[in-house]
Amino acid sequence: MMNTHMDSNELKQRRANARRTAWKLALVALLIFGVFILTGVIGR
Amino acid sequence: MNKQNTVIVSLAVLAAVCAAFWLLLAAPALTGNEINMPVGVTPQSVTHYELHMTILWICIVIGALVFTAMFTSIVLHRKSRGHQPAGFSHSTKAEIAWTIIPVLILLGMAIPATTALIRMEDTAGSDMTVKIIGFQWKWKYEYLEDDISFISTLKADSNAARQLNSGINPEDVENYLLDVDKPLVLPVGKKVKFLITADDVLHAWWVPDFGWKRDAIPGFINEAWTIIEKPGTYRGQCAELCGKDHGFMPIVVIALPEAEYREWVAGQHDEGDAEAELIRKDWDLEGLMRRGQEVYTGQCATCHQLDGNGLAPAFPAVAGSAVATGPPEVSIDLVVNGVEGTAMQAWGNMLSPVDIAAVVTYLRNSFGNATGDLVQPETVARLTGEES
Amino acid sequence: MSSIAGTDFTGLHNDHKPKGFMNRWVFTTNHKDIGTLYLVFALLMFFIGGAMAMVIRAELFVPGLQLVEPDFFNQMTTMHALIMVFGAIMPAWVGFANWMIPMMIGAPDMALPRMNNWSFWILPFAFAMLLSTLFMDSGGPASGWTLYPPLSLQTGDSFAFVVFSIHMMGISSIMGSINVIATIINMRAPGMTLLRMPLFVWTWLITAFLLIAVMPVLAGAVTMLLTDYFFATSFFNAAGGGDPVMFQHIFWFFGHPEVYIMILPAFGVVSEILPTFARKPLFGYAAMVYATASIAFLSFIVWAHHMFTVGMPLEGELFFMYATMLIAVPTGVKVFNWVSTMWRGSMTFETPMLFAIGFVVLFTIGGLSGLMLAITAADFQYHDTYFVVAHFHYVLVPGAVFALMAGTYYWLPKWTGRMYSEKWGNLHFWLSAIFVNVLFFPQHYLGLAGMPRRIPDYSPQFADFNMWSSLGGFLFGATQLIFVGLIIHCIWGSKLKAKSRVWEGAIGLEWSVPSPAPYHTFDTPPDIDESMVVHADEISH
Repeated sequence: MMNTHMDSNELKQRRANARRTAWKLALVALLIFGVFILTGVIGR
Repeated sequence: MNKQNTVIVSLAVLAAVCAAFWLLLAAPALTGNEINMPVGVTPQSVTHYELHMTILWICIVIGALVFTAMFTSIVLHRKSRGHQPAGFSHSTKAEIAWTIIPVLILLGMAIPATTALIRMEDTAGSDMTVKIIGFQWKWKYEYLEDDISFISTLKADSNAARQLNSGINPEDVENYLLDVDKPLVLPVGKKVKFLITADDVLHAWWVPDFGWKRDAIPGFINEAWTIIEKPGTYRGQCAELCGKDHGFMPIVVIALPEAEYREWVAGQHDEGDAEAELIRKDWDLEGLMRRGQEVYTGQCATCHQLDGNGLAPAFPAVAGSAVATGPPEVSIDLVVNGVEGTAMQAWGNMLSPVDIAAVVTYLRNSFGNATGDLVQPETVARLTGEES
Repeated sequence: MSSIAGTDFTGLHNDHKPKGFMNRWVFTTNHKDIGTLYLVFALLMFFIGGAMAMVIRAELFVPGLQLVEPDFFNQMTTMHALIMVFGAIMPAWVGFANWMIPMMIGAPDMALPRMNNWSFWILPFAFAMLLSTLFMDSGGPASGWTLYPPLSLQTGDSFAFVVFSIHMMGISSIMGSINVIATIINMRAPGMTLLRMPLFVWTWLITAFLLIAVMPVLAGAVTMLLTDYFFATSFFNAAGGGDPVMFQHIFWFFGHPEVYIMILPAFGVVSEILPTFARKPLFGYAAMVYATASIAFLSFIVWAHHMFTVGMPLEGELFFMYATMLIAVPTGVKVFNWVSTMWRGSMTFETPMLFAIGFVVLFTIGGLSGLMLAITAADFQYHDTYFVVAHFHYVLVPGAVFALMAGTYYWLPKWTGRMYSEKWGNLHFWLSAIFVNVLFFPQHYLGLAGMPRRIPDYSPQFADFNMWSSLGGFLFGATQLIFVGLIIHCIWGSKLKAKSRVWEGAIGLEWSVPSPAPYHTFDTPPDIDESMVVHADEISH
């Protein structure tokens, strides 16, 4: 358990980066959903 | 392990793999079920059969090579035989080879596949046109040049046998599930163009002996063609899931020599004249009820059931229904125009005024419904705007 | 704290589990527990979906209708597919990802542990909702898992429930894959470069991108169905100016990548297992990664081969035929590389290896029949017949499912700390391998002879092979009870303790931690040396 303290900052930083990655990906997913609904509206 | 040993083992494995493949290919014949894709009776079916066999053999050869290498390794390179692992983990040469060679095989395959496709899609220069309309769960055929049209449904004996626990052995029914009341009749040796569409949901028109299937899509018309080269009876089925009776809307095509086909067309025209006469005639209750029962059994009973009680919740009962016992115009309207968004079709363009009059009369006077009135074909014809 | 002789794991791992059932399982944020939940859920769904397959095969045992009405039969085929695809195979792979990815890349957990909890706990509700439709008056969905309109719009009251449950599954999958990507991108231990990652991690990374790209597409498609159904929008209603074929395009733009979502992690697992038991490095590691990426790319431009018969323009048919044929190239590279991995190895045949070899052989058969289906003109005959049913079951059952079983046997000792029974594992493999072929091989013949799919009854000419297929089906289903028994025995009954490196030839970080893996692994990142990574030759400095 002691060693974890040494890296806790690094770990925190990585988790923060991961959250940013996650938000970007979620946005991409939402965008794709929107594009395909739009395809439906235009394509019909 | 020395080289010679490897060769001997791989030859033995190859023999075993070939034997296994032979067994798989011969299994249908060995078990008395000689079945493969039919060669069929049209130019397309022959081409598609040949394509199928070519690609099948390519797959068999590739499979035999892969499995031979694999099982040779499994036989020889085991720890239990004391085989020491080699250390190699890649070989650029090999990897390039097994990227390039498949590409070449695919290119070779693409050539016949492309020509077959181009031929299939060439619907130009046809001798006659038949419009095929898919309904839940029957086919309607319209001969555009000859002004003939009729509905084709599952034959009554199959229909009786296919009910849940009917007690009838399907083996005792001739052409079980592959027979219809009124087959499509086509001439031999003529290029027939098909215009395929649907009225309610997707269907697909497929006769294996013709070599293709085509989806029937509401609101769209698909084109396809055939030249039947041999007189005979050819059977098929709907190939796109279309609801509960998807498995029970077969297709039967009778291919006749030109002269006999012409005779059949003339016979259909006579029947058409007789039908027009029937519309003008003043019908009595008994006649309408008899004809109405036939129509009901053939067309309506699948959903509303023979006893008129329907199948809740999708298929409402006719017995005691407000529509069947209310004003006759409402009953006629419902049958003629259907109910949008349900399986109830607009029967006005499927059944003749006589049939509609008969079936409306029948359901207003059966299953405990006792309105006592009768609907004349002329009334229906007037309402549907059809000239009698 | 469990430990193994001679290794000091203080600081790297700890075994502190939360107290109480709710804390341990319902509120858990631990990747291993969530992985277990996913796997148990998938197994349960595998049996529910399997029971539906049994109903289907029982009705098709002989001609005539003996057991169920045609509409219920259609509900069974529809639900069987939805449950197996979204409830069994996909969650099982997410379970593997949860368990193994952090341990394989030296991360302490998934990057977003609380979202991980959500991703899982949405699923039981989604499937409870989906299954509840079977008990509604209108019955469940009966339009096939593809939900093609206009037929799907004839579904009764259950329609909204089906659509919402698909939305929930989609959200769960998207969150799960976001987590996988965020973990792999951000949480790798120092020294674990991308091209040193195990193939399973690679295939899952690519799978996760596929999921994020296509699950929203499915969500869009079913949302449009929903508005067509309730708000009269007529996206797909020809009478209102819509286009029923457009649904098929959108659906298969999702659907084709979806089938690779189910098979790519299988490629990964097999690429882990074959080198272990051949005691020889994976052949062509880099080629395997590129082949996986190419397959994923191609999956986006082949969708219309599922709909060759809708009447596309000739140019469209040609394009989709060529693109589909092209997939054979990277897939071929994979198969050839697996065989080369085995070639001149020093093989032993424990249960994971047997299932992996079974996978390669039977997946190849499914792949070759896929090549046949790519030939558009021939597909005009094959399309919507049992030939297609045989094809996709070959790639999904002895394909994806065999790989899942191989992976389970491979890592089960790592998860439980005990060895499963090798004797029963062998028996499970051999019975499965025999019966799966009795079940699906005759379906090739049926399709060629002209039996359409999704029919509850058939002409007597198809009777023999249907009976064979049904018999194989019942026995295959029964065989899977051995699997459950084995897992239960391994967790609670087995006396045989597993070593940290369970298999002699195994390489990878997961084998450097004790068995069972402690509750928390790699609290501090491990020092990675060449002996711990699968693709060691890239590490030369």
